[in-house]
Amino acid sequence: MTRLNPIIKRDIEVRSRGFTLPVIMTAVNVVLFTIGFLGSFGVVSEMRQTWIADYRPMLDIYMTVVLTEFVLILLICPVYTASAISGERETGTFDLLLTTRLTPANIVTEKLISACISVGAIIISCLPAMLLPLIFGGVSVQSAIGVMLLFLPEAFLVLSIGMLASSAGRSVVRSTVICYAVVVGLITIPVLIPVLTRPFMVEQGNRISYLIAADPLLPVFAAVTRQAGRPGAVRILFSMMGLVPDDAFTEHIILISVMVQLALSFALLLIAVINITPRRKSRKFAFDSKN
Amino acid sequence: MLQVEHVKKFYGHFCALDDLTMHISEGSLYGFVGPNGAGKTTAIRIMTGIIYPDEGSVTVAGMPGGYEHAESRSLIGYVPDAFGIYNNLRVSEYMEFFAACYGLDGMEARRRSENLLKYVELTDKADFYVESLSRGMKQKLALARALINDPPILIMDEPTSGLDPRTRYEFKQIVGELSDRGKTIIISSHILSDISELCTDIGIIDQGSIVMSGRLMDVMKVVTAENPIIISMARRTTQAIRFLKEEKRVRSMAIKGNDIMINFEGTAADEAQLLKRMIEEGLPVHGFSREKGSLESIFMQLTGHGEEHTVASYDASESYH
Repeated sequence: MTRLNPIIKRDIEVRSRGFTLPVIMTAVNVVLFTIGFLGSFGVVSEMRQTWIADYRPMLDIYMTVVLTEFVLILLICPVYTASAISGERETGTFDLLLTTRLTPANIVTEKLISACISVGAIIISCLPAMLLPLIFGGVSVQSAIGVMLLFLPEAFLVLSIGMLASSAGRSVVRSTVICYAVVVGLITIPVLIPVLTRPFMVEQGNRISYLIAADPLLPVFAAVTRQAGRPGAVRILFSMMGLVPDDAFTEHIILISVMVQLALSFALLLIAVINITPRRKSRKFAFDSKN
Repeated sequence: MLQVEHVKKFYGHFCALDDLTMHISEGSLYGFVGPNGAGKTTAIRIMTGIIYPDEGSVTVAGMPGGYEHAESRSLIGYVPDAFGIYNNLRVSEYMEFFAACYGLDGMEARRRSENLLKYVELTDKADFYVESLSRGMKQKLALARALINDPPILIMDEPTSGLDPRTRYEFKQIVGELSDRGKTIIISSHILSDISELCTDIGIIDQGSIVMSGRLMDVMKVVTAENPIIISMARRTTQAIRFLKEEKRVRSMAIKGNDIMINFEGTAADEAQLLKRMIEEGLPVHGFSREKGSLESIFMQLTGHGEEHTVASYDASESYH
């Protein structure tokens, strides 16, 4: 831990002393358990009145908990990387890191890994809340872990967006705002554009709909609706966008989407590295004119 | 040891450095002086390899400088004006973090960290959080951090700014010791008294260019040579004025009580001849000396835009040999 990754070691030391990570973990779990328990109480109350045991409402609760957790994770990720480099710039330590043996790739990679460790810890801490429907059946532990694993590439994408915003912005506030704007854009634009352009593209088919593969919500949404026995939600979405249900693209949408998003993540990280590497020519991706 | 050759740097249309050339010899303690916005910090950031110049080059110990040359970069320790401190780390952790960033392993990092903290008298603060340190202590810590990989060149940007007199004194003592150990040190500062006390060489930068540089003593001599001679008379001041008016080499004269200030054009031998003739005339000369030049006066002359410069822009060391 000493020679190759001093930034990871330092970040873990600092975070282990601070309250941010425990507070976030607690807050996320409180939200998820509140949804889970309130939903469960509602289901149990209905069972008492009707004397009919139906596990499907519990699957709806599972779906709500998973999607809520995922949205919260997407909102939390920028906290860890949007300040990674811009924060160092604000404190004047970034210049010092550049004078050491650490390369820009080291800096970006180590900061990303330390952020991944924190976000990973939050995701794992939420597993009990996700498994609440197991009381009634309908969802297996493997299914819950499977969908949780899908969180990782999506979180990685948002962390990478945060890293790029951090490399380009000179202040933490600016890079955080940019990061959230990009994440919101990435979630909404791949859905909105195809839906809005659909009426004009009936004859040729709506190729622009393939943009949906870049949407970080899609793989988790598709997986969890399948697990909950409601694949129709995704089919309706695809129909609205002009995609053909059950073709090769829609059939393997989760895998394609994960691959696209991982590729996008690595591309963003590469740009972040280029952005913070001192160069003779002006930087194309900087949001500020000064170096 | 460190050469900056014809460096230009633009921020948009603003020219921060305009054909900057600096030669800093090994073991020298170089004072880098200039008004706010003159380009000191930009020049320092270029020397450390953090940013690139648009034109020109930097050479460190015979090797090309710049970010891509890690070998030359590792020869420079840098203390920025903003300290560069992680407030949420302990002092020892801060030192060991940077040691690790330079590739030093655990035991070696700890040993160097302890030695340097002892050197800057922060051993008793090793377990304190950096945020709890005073400004002076933070500056000492930043200095210790810059020395963690034992670089032969140390560049400090405004290191004594905002420090109390005692801490400034201690800081100067440490810098003096480091210079005695053979380190090449570059200090940018507004505090001219610190520069004149500490430095062996000086470079004055204004509007992105060096307007004077050389050995501090040589620079002071040049300025002193341009200063007026003050002749203090015990009595008979009127006769002395009459005598001096007839001297060809006396360009102008000002009188203040029994002191006569003359702008004299000539060598030291000519000055001696003038004194000799005054005494032969029976004038009771009580004092005869050139007004001493100060770094502050040089600085004001060279960087006072819109005012007439009385000292030309040139390299003092070259003009004296």
